[in-house]
Amino acid sequence: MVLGTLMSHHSLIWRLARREVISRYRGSAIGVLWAFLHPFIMLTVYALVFHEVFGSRFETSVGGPVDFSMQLFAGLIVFSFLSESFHRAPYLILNNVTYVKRVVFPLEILPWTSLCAAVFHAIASVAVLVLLYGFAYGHIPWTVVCFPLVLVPLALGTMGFSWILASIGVFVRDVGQAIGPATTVLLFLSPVFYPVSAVPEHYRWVLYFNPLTFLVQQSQDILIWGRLPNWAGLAIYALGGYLLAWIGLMWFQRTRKAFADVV
Amino acid sequence: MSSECAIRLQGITKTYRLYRGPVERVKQWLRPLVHHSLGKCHENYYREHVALDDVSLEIKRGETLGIIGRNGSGKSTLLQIISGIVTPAKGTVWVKGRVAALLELGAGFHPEFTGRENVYINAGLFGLSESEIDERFDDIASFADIGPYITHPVKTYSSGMFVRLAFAIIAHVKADILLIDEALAVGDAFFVQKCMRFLRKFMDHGTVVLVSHDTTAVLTLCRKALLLDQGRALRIGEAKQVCDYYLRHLYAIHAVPDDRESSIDRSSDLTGSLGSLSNNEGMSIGHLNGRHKLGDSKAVIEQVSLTDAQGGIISCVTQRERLRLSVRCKTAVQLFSPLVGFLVRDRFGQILFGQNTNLIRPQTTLSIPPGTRFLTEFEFIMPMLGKGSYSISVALAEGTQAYQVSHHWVNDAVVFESMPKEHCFGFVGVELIHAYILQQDCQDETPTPSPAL
Repeated sequence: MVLGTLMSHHSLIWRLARREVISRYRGSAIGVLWAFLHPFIMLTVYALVFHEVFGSRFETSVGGPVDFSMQLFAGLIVFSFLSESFHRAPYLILNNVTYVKRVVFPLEILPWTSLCAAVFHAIASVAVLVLLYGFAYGHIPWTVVCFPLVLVPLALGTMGFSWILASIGVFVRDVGQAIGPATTVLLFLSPVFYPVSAVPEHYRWVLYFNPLTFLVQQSQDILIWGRLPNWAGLAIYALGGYLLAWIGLMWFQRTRKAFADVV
Repeated sequence: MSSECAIRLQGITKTYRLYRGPVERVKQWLRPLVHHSLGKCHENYYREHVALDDVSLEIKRGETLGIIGRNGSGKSTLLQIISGIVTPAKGTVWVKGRVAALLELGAGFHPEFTGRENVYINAGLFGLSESEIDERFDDIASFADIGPYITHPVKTYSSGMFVRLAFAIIAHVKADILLIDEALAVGDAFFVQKCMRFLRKFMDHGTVVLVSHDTTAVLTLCRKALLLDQGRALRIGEAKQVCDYYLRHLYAIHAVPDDRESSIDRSSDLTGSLGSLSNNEGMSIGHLNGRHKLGDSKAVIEQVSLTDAQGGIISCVTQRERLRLSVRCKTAVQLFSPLVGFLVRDRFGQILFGQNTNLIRPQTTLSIPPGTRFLTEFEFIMPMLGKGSYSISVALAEGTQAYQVSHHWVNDAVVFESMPKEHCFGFVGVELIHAYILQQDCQDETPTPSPAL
């Protein structure tokens, strides 16, 4: 059912998603190249700051030969994916009032389009990361090809929340405001800026409670350390993500009837 | 086959909850919770607005229904419910076939996208595949006829271009049911003609529901009409009868604020005396035009009649002829420079022509003593009018053309039919002196302009 919404309107979703990506860079001279330039600049800055400014303090805490900035970036890709979709979700319906009031539109596909845009940006970031990794260390971990496996549960869970946020955002406009701080909290409670081992033992449960933690770690394992993913863990997460997406879609479809009365 | 049902609505009711602000909405959500835990109950936090009240309707395949009504009567809501955009609070909607809706201006375009992209998105929503749209794209573009603008974002479009493109799309999606809301009013004359041609062709097999507060469009396109008033279905039936009722109803409502205090009571005896003049069903008397305040019933119009030159009552005009309109009035006060006038309207309420005694010769010196009856007669050549029913409104006033006190105004005092013997295009017929087709000989084939021509 969740995937049904994707399949039955795939050409429309594709069209809208492509449009969304293109329109974001419209008017700029180098266009979509920004999607690659942006992560490149960010990664370079991280490398500078963490390597030159903070120096070895961080290096040792990571405990590996790889630059900390690379590891940070691998985690950020996961977070940005979720954050981008979450920030867009509450406004998906509000920004497309004509689709609510003027035509019969499959509103449930709108979160898919923003997800597609997020996937595009994530892939661009991974490409930049892999490229710079190869440049710095002369080799690329082959486990990179497993990255889509991290993306699947992440995307499903994100869709579930997006549907719910898009729906509630119509009725309570405060949701859009609350997303900013909420995602920031999520970022700092996941092992993006620090490894789990740096957290005192009796607080670690907070991190493990955060569903992002596992996916961030998996992303770092695959993209940086060349470790194979935790198959069973990812399978469980994918299942949970699907369940979440299903609940989100149900919620969305149950509440959508009232959209036209409110917007 | 033609008796097959396309749209069936049963007991459609739509209510909107109006909240004063978002906080009230949240309070309403929490209300059952508070009710449970505290056992006491606050009243509802919203005001209820009934947009549609128990509307039932059945439209057969191939039928064209016009929905008319004043602003806010629920026309557009009903269309949104048929199209499935809005869900009714109560009642069932049953629609068979592919529905294409053109609701107001928006038409579901995304302002940032180009016309071309919107065509693909919109047509896709109507269930057309990519290749089907590819096939029809050129047709759609040429129907919309907006030239190079098709590659511009639609936010740069004029409202006319918006509608042209929107209409072009729904004209090419092969729908079974078309829902159109006021959209035809926006395009220019050429485009409206194009739409009309398309609609007439579409009506051969498809079902059309047209919402308008312009009765002309409804009358020209629809055989059946529904009149909505404050969400209720007031009348449903033959388009002409419903439109007539609507126009009279509209005037009646407009007159209400003014005629509270006086003179509606006069209408009963007026109807009695006027009823004999004409047996047209459309005739009515006593609807006082709101713009003319009837401050006093000191002078009233008692009887109006339309006769031919010989004095025979006329209810049907068949040609251009000399007619006499007699207006009998009675005054209770001294009338200085009385003024009597008439207006002829077509069935849409459009004023075709009118005259009054002042326009011909100002009656400044005339004075009528109280308690007298007086007769005003207009003799005029009735132009050849198009087929249909017409009404004459009569007014009695005092003063000059520029400054006058209106004493009595009777809408539709006389109603008559026009049945022109010759075919009459448009509003009026034109008297043809002669018409020839001349063949002009041309010696050589080359089109050299000859100075003689």
